[in-house]
Amino acid sequence: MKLRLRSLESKQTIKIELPNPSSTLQQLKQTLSQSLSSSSSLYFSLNRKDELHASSPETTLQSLGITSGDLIFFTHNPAAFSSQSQSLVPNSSSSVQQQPPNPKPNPNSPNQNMSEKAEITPSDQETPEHEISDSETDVDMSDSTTANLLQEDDEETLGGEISGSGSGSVPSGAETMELDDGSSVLSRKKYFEHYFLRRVLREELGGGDGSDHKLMVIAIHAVLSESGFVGFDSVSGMRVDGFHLPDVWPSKAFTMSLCYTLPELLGTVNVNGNYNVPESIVLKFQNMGHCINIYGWAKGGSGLHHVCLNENRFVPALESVWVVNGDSNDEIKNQDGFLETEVFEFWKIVKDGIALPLLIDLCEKAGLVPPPCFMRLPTELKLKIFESLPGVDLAKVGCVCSDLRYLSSSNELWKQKFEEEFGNGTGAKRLFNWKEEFQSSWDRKKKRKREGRQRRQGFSHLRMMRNVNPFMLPSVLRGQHDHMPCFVAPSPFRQVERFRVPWNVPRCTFEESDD
Amino acid sequence: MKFCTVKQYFDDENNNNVTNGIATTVIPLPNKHLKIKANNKEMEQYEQELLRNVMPQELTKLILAANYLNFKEALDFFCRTVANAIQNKSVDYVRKFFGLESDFEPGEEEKLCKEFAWSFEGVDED
Repeated sequence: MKLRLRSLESKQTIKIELPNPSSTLQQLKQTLSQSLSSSSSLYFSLNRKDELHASSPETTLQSLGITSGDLIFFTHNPAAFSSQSQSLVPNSSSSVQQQPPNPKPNPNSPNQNMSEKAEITPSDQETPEHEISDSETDVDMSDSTTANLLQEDDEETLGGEISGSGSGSVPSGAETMELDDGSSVLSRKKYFEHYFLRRVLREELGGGDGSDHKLMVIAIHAVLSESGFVGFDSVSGMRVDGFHLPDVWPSKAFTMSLCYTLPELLGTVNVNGNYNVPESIVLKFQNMGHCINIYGWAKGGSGLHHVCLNENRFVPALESVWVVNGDSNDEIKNQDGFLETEVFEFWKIVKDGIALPLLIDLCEKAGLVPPPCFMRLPTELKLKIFESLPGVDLAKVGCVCSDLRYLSSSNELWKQKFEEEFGNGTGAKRLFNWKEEFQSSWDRKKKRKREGRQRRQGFSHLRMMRNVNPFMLPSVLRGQHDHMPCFVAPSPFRQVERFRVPWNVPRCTFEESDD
Repeated sequence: MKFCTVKQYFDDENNNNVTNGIATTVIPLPNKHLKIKANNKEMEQYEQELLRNVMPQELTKLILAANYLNFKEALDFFCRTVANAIQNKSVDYVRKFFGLESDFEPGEEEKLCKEFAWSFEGVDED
């Protein structure tokens, strides 16, 4: 496959052809070293920020997400590509094997496309992992949990919720980091196999029935956190960012309650040394076979909101968020399309059924300013509005706030925009990341327009010259030599026609010279 | 058939979804529709007038009302109006329109702007 290698420092681009799509990173390094005739070590990156690293010598370039035609940056400087966090799995997983109680890496792995709110502070990193099992964790943890959820691309969407669940549920330290590795896997087109992750997570979550319930509860907690709620301990009134789920989860019907409130309502310390929380909501989880019922009400309020979720439907999708099977890219794409929709559905149901109504209720009760009226619209209606919006404006909407960013990142929506704008040309060839498709097609279209305009300007300039001196010898004017061998004054009509032709013929050659 | 929910609405005393003011705007719409059925332009004009002075908050309530009343045409129309209102406008305008605040980190917002620079060309002035 053909690759373009560009030096980070000199911007010089070298085209390299590798014989085999399953070449490894090592082979690429060797080939590049040969063409550079240098022997110092090389470091690669796709986005000039995160280093491309192969976990094993046999890792193929394809599995790293590199395809023919890709542009890869290289440098001899080992520190050039220093990611802000352990964003790529191979780096992180290798460190997992070295020392389990590593400082927790930034759960928000900056991605090629987007970086989340990197709210990890140094204090977070120092916190030993086993403290997670305490009810109180760093405030930052919760913030990063929230931030984790506000992720964009479909892959990132999948990565988001699990980081949230990771910090909540897992008592032991090493697991949390592995979870992050799982989520950080999902940078553009990179898929790895995580049997080790899956096994350990299964063990940790207890396997069998218990883990499914835990997963659901954690995911629901994640949606609430994203809506602005914070958990708190009803007894002490202290804020609780992780929660300690019981280790033994009865498989039959069970109930469990959690209290939530808004950050503004976490009151000041009163006489007894406890926090005063004036208003709060209670969430009750009730398990009935395959379904989990969630009842939520504002304390002292009258409204009861209820949602029933089918575990069989959502657990596979939620599970896929942290564990990705890297067998074949195509399979993943198929899966991702469906599973991502399921995760989005889950988010929509919980948000519209529980989170939003409770938020409005709580604000009313507590006398707080309710959320902006637009945000109070159910998700379906917001999406309906976005359906009538052209693609460019949808992209702008994504820059407004984090809630809208998640909403506007829906793959289905972008697929529709793409089809509206560019027709159904590509068919079902690519099943994921319609937003990127839209963006690249848009860029191409703009380029073509720009070039068309330039050409037209160039020609009209010539024509103007010709009009000023209609009887000048043809040789004075550029580009007419071959067509005007005689001294006859050029016919205006012929000239115009000659200039007109290139406009209609799409100039594909221009577009390829984009190095 | 368009009014099955309306009847329910009148029966239901404790209804927070649709305030009176909104109801008076939304409910006469189908009648007008029938009257001006043939003439689309007039209908458009009528609707434009209706919405000229409506604030975004009102628009939101109208959408909720139309949704609750199961009034598809009105719902479509209101949603399209919102979409038209923010079409080709800058991100700040959209923020002000919806009354939202940016909850991004400063660095994050920059990155977003860079990534979506392709969509910022040709934006209307506010």
